[in-house]
Amino acid sequence: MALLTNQPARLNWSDLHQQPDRDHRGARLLQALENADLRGRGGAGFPTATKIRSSLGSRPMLIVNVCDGEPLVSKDAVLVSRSPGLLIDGVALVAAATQAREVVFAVHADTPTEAALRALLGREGQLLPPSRVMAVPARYVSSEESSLASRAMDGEARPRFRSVPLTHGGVGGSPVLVLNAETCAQVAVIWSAGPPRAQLTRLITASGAVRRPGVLEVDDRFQLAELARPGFGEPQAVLLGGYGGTWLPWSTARQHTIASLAQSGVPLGAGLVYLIADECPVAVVGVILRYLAAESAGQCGPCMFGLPAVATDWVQLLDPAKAAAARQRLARRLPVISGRGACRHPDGAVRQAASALSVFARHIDFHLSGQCVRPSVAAAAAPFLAGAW
Amino acid sequence: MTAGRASSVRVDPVACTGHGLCAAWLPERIELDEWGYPIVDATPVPDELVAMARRAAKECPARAVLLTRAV
Amino acid sequence: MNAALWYLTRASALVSLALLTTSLVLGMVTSGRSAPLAEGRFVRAALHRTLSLVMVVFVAAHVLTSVIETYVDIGWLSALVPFSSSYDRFWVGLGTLSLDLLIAVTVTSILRQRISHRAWKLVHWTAYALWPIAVLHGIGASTADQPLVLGLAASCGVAVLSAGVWRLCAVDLDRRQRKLAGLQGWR
Repeated sequence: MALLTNQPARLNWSDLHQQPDRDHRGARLLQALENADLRGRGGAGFPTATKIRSSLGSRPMLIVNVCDGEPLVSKDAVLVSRSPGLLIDGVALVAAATQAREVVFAVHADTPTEAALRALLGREGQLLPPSRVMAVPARYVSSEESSLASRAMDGEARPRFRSVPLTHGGVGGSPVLVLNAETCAQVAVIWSAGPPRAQLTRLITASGAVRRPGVLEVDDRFQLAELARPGFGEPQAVLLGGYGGTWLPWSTARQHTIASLAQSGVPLGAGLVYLIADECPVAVVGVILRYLAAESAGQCGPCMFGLPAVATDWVQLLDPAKAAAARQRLARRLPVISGRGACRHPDGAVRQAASALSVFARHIDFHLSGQCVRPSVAAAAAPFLAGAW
Repeated sequence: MTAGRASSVRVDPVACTGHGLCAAWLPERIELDEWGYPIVDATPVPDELVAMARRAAKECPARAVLLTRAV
Repeated sequence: MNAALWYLTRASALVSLALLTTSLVLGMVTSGRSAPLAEGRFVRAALHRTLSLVMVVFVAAHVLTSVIETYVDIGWLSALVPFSSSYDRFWVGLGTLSLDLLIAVTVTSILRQRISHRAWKLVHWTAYALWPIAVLHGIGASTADQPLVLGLAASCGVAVLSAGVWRLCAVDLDRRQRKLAGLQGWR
């Protein structure tokens, strides 16, 4: 059974709300999630059972993240349109297990998904604890979990510093459990089928120079090579996870399956798989770095000053007169920016820049000797960032 | 926080406005990056440094330096 | 005895003015973030505090001697309640007002760890009012015309004015970035 095709049957709702069974059912659910080794599909990949367990007994506000915060990723939107029942069932299971006092569906404002969610809650909302749709600004950091918690408590959708975890009241004092929409749908799949680990699927969003751009559901054995466009130029490299993800050279990536990626420690994050073929990769990285710098919430020093500095260094890497100094600055800056913000936004930007630096080392040399003839992405920057590619 | 209990230094990066006083009080755990913001070594503070760590927390004009008990 | 007290009043007033000025200038330089010699921040902050506390001692001496000496009639009450003195009500009142502000600033700074950052900051901002009020009090209540006194007053004025101009012009990158980011729509 799976998320988009061959979906399991809907939950038996009258069972779910029967008091005597509730605790027992919660324990069984957690056990099933643990056996399946379900990890969060929003980006951080934290074990879902552990997260839910730390919310037990606290009657949390459950926030379901349906934002697709990664600009090129659209899996949450696809899930809402194609598997709304699984989403609601998964949310209901988690809400029942944690006795959530409220369910908040977070979605980017004024999107078709927002309208779809409102309609969905109109139809099925009465099956959940008091629930509402929360429209969030379409900013990169606004769908980070503490941003959502802050917004749900009527604050700004900007990340917040937490001295205790969200599940223990890290924002605003009351416990909050934030789960990604795909994670919730997987909970429903696991509950009804209890698949062994190997059969758990995941949603990836193929983008760039791929055979067919869009969301697809893959299992552990899926080979990245299948994404390439036959009859076109060989891709150069692939960006995995999201804008704050990892570049791999295509020669390496094409040999990977989803399982082997996990084994070699490359996170799939929010499931972006972006192939680059014809464009100048160094220019693409520059555009993404500039975007990430501009998307800083401007709250933490290392992020608000570090990310623009790194983006500028990246541009100067291509200028023969400035390249050596820029390389030195990057070597100094990249290691000290990570892990020092209220959220992981700067860490992602640094991860992407660092992996690009090593994957595209040869290409950077091309530029310095004036040999790069690939079209620059600069002119196409705007549609690229809007996810139109 | 009683003496003898390991504690470590943390900075609230949103509150921190980069005055840099903490690095002057506790250079053993805190250095400043090129923009003046603290890079904190979260290794627990030994007993003989606890007083200085407290001082660093107290002197921070933005009250962004936190002492947390290490887990 | 009375003459000695009177001189003590005048002398402690002058020292207080000098200390207040230095402390205010140091405070302005510390709070304006892109300060010259960023490494000196540590020393500046320590100096700002120490000089302020020394000043409190001199101000205390000034107030005590003003009340005790009997040339002019200033009572304990009028040392604390502004504009309650029968002698030179307005100018003495300004002095009392600045004393009250000083007490507020000092007490909140001593309790800074226990009160909210915002409250401390609000009270601390009144130091900008404290200085001109104290200077006005000095000009109005004293009859000094010695060049030394006038020179001191003038140099204090120049120091505070130039620090103030610097403070207004100093670009605090942190504050600017935060402000710009905060103006973007986050709701």
